Amino acid sequence: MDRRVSIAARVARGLEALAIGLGLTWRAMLRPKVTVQYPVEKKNVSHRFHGLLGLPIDPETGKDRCIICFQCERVCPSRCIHIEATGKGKERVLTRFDIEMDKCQYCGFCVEVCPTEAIVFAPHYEASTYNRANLLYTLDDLHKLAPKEPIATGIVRTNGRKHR
Amino acid sequence: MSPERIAQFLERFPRVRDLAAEQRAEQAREDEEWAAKQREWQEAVERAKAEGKPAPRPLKREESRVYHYHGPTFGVEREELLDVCRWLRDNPEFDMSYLSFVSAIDWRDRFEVVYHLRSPARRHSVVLKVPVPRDDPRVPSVTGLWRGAEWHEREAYDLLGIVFEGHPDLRRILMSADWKGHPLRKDYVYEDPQWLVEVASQRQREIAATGEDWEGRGSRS
Amino acid sequence: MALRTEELMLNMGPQHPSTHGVLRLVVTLDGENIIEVQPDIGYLHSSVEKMMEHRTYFQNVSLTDRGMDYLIALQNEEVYCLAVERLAGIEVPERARYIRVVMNELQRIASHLVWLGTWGIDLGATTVFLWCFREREMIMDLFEQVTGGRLHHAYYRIGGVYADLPEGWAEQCQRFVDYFLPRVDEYDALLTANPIFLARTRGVGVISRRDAIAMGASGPVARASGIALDVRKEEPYEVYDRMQFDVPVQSEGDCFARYRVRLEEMRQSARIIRQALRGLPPGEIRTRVPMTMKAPRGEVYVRTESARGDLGIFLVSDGGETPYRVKIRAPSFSNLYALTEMMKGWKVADVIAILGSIDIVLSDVDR
Ligand code: SF4
Ligand code: SF4
Repeated sequence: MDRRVSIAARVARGLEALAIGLGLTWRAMLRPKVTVQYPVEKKNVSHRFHGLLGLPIDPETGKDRCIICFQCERVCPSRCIHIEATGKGKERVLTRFDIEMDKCQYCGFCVEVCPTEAIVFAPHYEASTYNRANLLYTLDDLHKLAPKEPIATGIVRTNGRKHR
Repeated sequence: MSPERIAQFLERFPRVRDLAAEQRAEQAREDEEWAAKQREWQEAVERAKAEGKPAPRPLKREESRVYHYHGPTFGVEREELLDVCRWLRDNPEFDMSYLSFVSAIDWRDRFEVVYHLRSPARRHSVVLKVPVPRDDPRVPSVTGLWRGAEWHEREAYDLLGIVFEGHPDLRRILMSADWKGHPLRKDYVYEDPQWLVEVASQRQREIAATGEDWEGRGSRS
Repeated sequence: MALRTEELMLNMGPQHPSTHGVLRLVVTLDGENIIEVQPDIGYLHSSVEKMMEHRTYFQNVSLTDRGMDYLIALQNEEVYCLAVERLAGIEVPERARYIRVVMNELQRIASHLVWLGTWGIDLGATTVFLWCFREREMIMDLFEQVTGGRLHHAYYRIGGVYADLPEGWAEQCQRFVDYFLPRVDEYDALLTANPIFLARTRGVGVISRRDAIAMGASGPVARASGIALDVRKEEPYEVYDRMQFDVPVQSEGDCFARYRVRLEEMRQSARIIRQALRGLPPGEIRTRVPMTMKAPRGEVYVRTESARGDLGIFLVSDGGETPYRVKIRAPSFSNLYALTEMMKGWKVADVIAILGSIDIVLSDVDR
């Protein structure tokens, strides 16, 4: 007898829980959708997004702003920046500026230490390729990659300065 | 821990070294030396002024060689370790019922096994350090006192090669069972673990030599 | 006629969807009953402790993100930075400490959401999974605006944080908290009264208070067994001593209690975020520390309350530019050990429920 009662009680409780759950689910169905259909739609990344790295070209001089100080190479925890340069003084030019993007951990230390904001993050993140060798980004790649409007500048030395 | 408790602890175990107190004494000695040097320099400056000579160069304090402990730290002999631990755990004044971790430091000339004990009820903690020689890295296991020590001791054995006597199941935990060497030792040299492939193929040959195939294994005879 | 029985060894993992990582459980079964469980770990071992000995104090910040628990990257950075700061005696500006508290608590919520979602899916509740990840995505967006990263931030620095909060972020975060609290009630409504969920969690996987302490369990696992321990209350770091929050404690020690504790923790975290945002002082965000800093000789052990439990770092310096020895006290490591006790005597189907309830992350266990 009480077994039947307990079954009835359990059924009632189950139905109640079902009603609560389904009620919630129905209400949730009426809320706006938040799903992003990724490869078709894309979300905008924020100003500080740690994407791929780039060396933006300064429109005034037509060259990048790198002063070849090797700071970024030294600070990189993955040791994936390789810089070589020739010449002395003002004539010093980059002969090699490679970033092994497969090793890079997007920590942003290089962006932080760079005194001239020559190296910045670009808002691109789709770097996957079929060949690992493609992930060695040379100076040309880095120039091309750089956004017209650099995104992650001006946030490092913010104390006092305006940031975005 | 309050100073009274520390005093009580040291009274019970006179051979235990109060490392934090030693550090303070050393610091005081260094400060003393520095003050003496400064006084000397001051005198030299005044003498130079009186004699009209150029003043000697200002002193620069060199980096302190004192090893800083942040919190109560005690050096324990390994013979005494179990007694100390049991006393700390069972004495209601101390009530160290929680073992945070067991680990070790490789000081190139010796190992130091580190125990961090904590009392959730009394809200104090203590670090015990047990020096052991490099050629004989054995300490008694504390798994009998805190069950949770089991894996921590296995880890210290795996990564630093400390042998915990009386441990129920002392084998490697993080590295593979065939690994050679103890990676966190300072003299560890990483080599390409090519030999692991050989170990694996050796094992396959052994299995093949028994003549059993997969159907034969684990049959219900 | 008596049936002849024998014990059965069952391998779960190392790549099993319910183990939340590469964990192998060697389960000894008698019929359907579990006699013993031996976790076999180390598949994700990266020896981050050794790697840290070869990188400068500054570089190590980014290593703690991924070398330790990847779901609570900011809390890993927190404990590491705290250890170095205490060792070298570096003061952190007030504003940075408030920012750190906000970020820590957001990270805690994000981590608990992942846990609730994946555990729900383990138990067959798909809706919760989707809902939890919807809210977590919002937290990730909030993180991205401040730190630039979604999972690995490299945001804290020794002596402060890397960049200030962007304009309008505080209000946005406030709005998120307002949005989030009713959502927690929804998860609550969806699961807590559900008879299937109750049948699979209530009274399952019990660990007693004594065992939990002896086995070194911490965090929500310990609090569900009646141990009212929280490092944020016990040894307040940053500005937690100025925050008002409760430490949820349950005494049953079963899966359901652990669920209740974490659910309540999310509410408390939201409460802390509100207070911290309200109290956010203006000013500096970072004490300048030289890039190649040297810590004075010595050692320090710092504990913090991470989403998994008592996360500590034992840092030894010999006065050089790199740490001499780093020992990470991983909460998941001890909690996983407590699992061997929890599992005894339960059915094989409960393995998944119990394993999910302790919320381990394998990169934290193996380091
Ligand atoms: S983001 Fe970090 S890992 Fe990548 S190149 Fe810069 S410093 Fe190196
Ligand atoms: S830190 Fe900046 S300026 Fe210096 S080498 Fe790197 S990119 Fe060039």
